[in-house]
Amino acid sequence: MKPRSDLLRVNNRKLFYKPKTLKSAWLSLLAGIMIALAAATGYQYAGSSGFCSLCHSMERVHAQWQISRHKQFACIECHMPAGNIVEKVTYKTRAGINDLVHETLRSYPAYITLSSLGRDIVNDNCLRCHFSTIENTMMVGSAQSCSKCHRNLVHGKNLQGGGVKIE
Amino acid sequence: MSRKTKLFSSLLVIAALFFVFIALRVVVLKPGSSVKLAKIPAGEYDPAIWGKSYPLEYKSYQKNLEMAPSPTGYGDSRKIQHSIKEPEILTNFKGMAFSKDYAEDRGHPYAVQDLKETKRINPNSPGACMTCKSANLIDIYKDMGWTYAKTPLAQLFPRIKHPIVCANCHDPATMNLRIINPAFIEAMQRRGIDVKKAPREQMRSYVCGQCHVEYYFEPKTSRVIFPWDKGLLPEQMYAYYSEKPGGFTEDWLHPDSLAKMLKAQHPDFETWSNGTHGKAGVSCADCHMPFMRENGQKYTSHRVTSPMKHIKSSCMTCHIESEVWLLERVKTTQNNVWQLQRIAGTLVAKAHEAIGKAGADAEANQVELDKAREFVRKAQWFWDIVAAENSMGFHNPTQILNTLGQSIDLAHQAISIANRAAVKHNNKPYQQDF
Repeated sequence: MKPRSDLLRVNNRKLFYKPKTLKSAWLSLLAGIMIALAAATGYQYAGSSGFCSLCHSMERVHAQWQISRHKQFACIECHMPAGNIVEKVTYKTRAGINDLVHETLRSYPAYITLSSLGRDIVNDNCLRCHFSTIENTMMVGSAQSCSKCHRNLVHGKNLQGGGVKIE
Repeated sequence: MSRKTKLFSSLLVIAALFFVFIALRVVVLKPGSSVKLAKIPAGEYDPAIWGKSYPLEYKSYQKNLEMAPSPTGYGDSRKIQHSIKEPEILTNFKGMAFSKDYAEDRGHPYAVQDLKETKRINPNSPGACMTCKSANLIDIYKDMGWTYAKTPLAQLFPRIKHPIVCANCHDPATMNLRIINPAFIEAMQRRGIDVKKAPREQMRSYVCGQCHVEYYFEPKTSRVIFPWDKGLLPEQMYAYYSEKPGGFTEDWLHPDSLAKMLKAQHPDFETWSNGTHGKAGVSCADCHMPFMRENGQKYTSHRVTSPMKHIKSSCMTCHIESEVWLLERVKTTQNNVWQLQRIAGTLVAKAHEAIGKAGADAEANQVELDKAREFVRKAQWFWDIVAAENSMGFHNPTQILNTLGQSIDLAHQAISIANRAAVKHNNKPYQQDF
């Protein structure tokens, strides 16, 4: 147990923003709400396909997704884990930092491919909707991933990217 | 303001600046997705001049100067004599230039230098030898037509200033792909294809196919001709040569077997075109000149080399397996082809020896001997069309293994016919076939 004098000293410490009046208490609350709202809106916006398409490296895959048979689903519905909020935020932070670094340094390759983790996530998301299609087949429990065969489903063939435009 | 407030405010400013920087770089000032067309004069062949307007392409082209072995161990861009690993070459090309000098080819920028250095040719060799070595062919052919092909090389050398450069494949005004070798245009015309109307995706192979092919020099004119009138398979090209086109009977007479021999040249285009990649529409450039990015800008790699040096860009645009796995598959194909190529080449060498031995016997059956000579000619063609090809089988594994299988069979037949021609000691044709 900490001695009581210590606790007192902590409580007596000069605060950074000291709410001296009721007005500043209200202002703090308002700021808190604003920040929470901004964070929630930011998180929501960062999950939209429009946000994904802002990046140069995503232009081609975004264009192909727009004419695909899965265009009614947002990018994150396939590319983010569909678990609880902790799992989602952890993955989003990780992927976000990776994307931010490579997009800022412009060190992304001509063709972007799925990582093995990314492939597993996509695969789980295929099965979220399509599990009933395969549940009575030998594909259940096999190590195959859906995209091994259905690879051109959303983003088409890589070769359809076209060449280097000259103007 | 207190120290803490100052610290907090400055951190806030730094964070804001960082955010603005990222937003500018990622969202506002995106890297260009197109290249600006530069006006390059029609007679400009210096790649450094083109490189000023197309720096990424030029930078990758300069990598062709590197001299290094291929990652699979087959193929090299250093001048290494093939005969070190395949001594049968010395027997099979006896009596002709390839037994004197048969080095691995270096990159495109070395084409003219290597043309001058090779022991296979001399200043009196026909001008046709420069056809695929220099962009200056454009003006030489424009001025002289096909007569350049018969002109001694020494007379053309002053006009040959640049090796294989940008202009060999690109129209300077539009950057569109184009063909400059008249032999390719004519050969395609005879097959009913107008290369001037070819779509870009085909041009991405045609520009390579204008040189990476089998060809011969027409005896009187020295014109370069591609033997494609009957098709692009080894047996179809052999059948074409059997009809003595334009009086062309042989490249040289083998001094041991006295067989009229053909020398095959690098049929990369023909082999690829019947292979699984060629049939699926995967062009030469898709693998050998893949798209890359630097600083976000997409460009076509102009380092024309083994795709095994950049498996991710070349193979993994289509194949989802790992780099290690893909390299292993290519190596497996090449190891299998190498094994049969050595067997075929060695057997062909033995066939020359057996026919030479039988021919030395004045009483040997001459009809049978001629038959053996035809077999060794064909056996060597089937071996050489693979050995001279640049992919150690990868461009078309099944066809190449089939070709080598036929070569081995033909060489065996040549040997046994030669042996019985010597044994029979009569001048009647040998009756029994097996």
